[in-house]
Amino acid sequence: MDDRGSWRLMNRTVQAHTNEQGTVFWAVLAVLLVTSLLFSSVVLYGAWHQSQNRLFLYRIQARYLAEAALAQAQAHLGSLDASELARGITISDSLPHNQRWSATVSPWGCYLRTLCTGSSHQTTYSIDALLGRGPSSAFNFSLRLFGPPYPLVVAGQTRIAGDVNVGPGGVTSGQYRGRERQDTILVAGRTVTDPPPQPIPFDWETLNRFTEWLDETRDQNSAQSDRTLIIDDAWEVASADSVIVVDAPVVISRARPLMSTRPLVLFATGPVTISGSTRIDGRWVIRSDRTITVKDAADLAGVVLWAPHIEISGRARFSGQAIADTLLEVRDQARTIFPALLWVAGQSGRSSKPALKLESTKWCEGVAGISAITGPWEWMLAAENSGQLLLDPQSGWRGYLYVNGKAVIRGIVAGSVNAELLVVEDPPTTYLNWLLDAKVSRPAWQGSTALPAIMNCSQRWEVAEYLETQDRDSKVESSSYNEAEP
Amino acid sequence: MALSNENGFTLVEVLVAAALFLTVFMTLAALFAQATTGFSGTQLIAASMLAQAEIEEAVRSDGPESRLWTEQSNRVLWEIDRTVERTSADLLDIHVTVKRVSDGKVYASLWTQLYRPTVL
Repeated sequence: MDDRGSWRLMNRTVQAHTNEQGTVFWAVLAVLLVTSLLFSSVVLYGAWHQSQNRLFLYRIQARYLAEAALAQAQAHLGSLDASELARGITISDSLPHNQRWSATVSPWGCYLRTLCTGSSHQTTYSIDALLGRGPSSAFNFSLRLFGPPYPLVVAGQTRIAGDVNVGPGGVTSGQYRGRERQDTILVAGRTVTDPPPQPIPFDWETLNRFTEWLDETRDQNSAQSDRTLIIDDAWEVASADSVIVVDAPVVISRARPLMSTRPLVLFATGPVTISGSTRIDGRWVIRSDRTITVKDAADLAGVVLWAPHIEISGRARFSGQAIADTLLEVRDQARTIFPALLWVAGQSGRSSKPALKLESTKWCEGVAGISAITGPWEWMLAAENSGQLLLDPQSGWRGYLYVNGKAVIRGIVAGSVNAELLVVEDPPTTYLNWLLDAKVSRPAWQGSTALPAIMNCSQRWEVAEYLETQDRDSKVESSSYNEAEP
Repeated sequence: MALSNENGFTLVEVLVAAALFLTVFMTLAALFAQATTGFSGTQLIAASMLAQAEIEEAVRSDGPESRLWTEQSNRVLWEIDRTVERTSADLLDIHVTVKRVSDGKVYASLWTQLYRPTVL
């Protein structure tokens, strides 16, 4: 190669080397290569950055499309009757600019579960929410008694803040068993006697449909084991939509949380014990033919428990749905947290004694009730049918209590009580519609609470809980527990 | 033809030239990326967040209303237009557009619906 014809740009280099093959040429080529690479990188990065910026907007839009789907579902439910609600619905719509939303609603325990999806271009956003009935005027009162028209008798250290709705007998005061003591009786609020209060009708089809779904799921899966299933830290959720059937007891005790976005249904013929520091957060359904015990420092959120007998004790925290056929107890220092639902849903006329016992020394909140007892009040008063809701003197409840039967309210209620009868039993005497040593205050509960879907008291549908949103909190934040215990 | 002056460029000169080229190229690249979409990335984010905040304000409100207002953000004056329309007894349509006042270009547009029954 002729040196003079080559790319000699640097005289100094030429002079320094005897071989003048063009070091500068390679240096310049390298610089140009690096420059080209940098340029390409910048262009590609710019394009990627722009797409990410667009994606940011699409994600926001997808989320609001999912919210729109939820709003559409709420609006649509308001026009459906009980059987249509039980069957569930699916609605969807496509919009311009590659946007779409859809919502699927189906029974989930005593509520309706709504799966909403919004998609904008290539992004999707999902909301998994529980829907319940909106506010009912029945819970505007501190006390509402829809049983026989006896007067409400207040005695002992009793305070009622807010309005009372009772039959034509009105409100009066009396001395319980003639005790000679300085009673403090305060009724602050209106007494409404006309029209006489009525019970809230129930939509059993929704709960029945959920039961049918559980039964079908159980029938389609054979038992995996007839030995006690132990779910400890070594246990993992196996797959999507898991169903576990065990012809034996189940013990769940682990330190690591079980947080699953996928439904898991656990059937056990034996008792189920959830203890230790177990934490379950997800759409689980735990069904036992015997007893479900939640104790120690277990923490359950979003879970549906269903058994003949459910016991929540120790320092457990619970914010799911506990549905018992006959007996549901909250004891020790256990806490229920909004949107907890404690429900005794036994069948009418069964021989066992349906009861809901609220005996915790800590504040509990949510909706609790009994829908098991229906029948003539004379039948209800019989000892063998003595199912009832019991709120112990050391216990406090924030939210709503509904008893399709007898209630014994001795503690503090910050919210509203609906009952057929208030009973103070002191054999051989039974005092009807007596409120003794209780404090009931509707104004103390300012939050709104979604009522179970099975309570057919309103065509307005509210979100009880968002299960999978990251950006939106529950409608009502859980109260802080800084105040004194009851 | 033989070069009469063979002084050429030094390595430093070449590197300085390359650096200058690089700077020009990077600027062009940024302009190119912007030109392909017509939007500045940071401004797109700012507009999206303004639109989101406007919808959230409507979500928090019991009775959201249409409104048109301007706000300075990211050294840009934005016009925020929220349209609220009742489409049924239970639903409100919320449409928010955010445009840059200087050229009227729409940077972000969001739509949602709210469940607000007129009858309890």
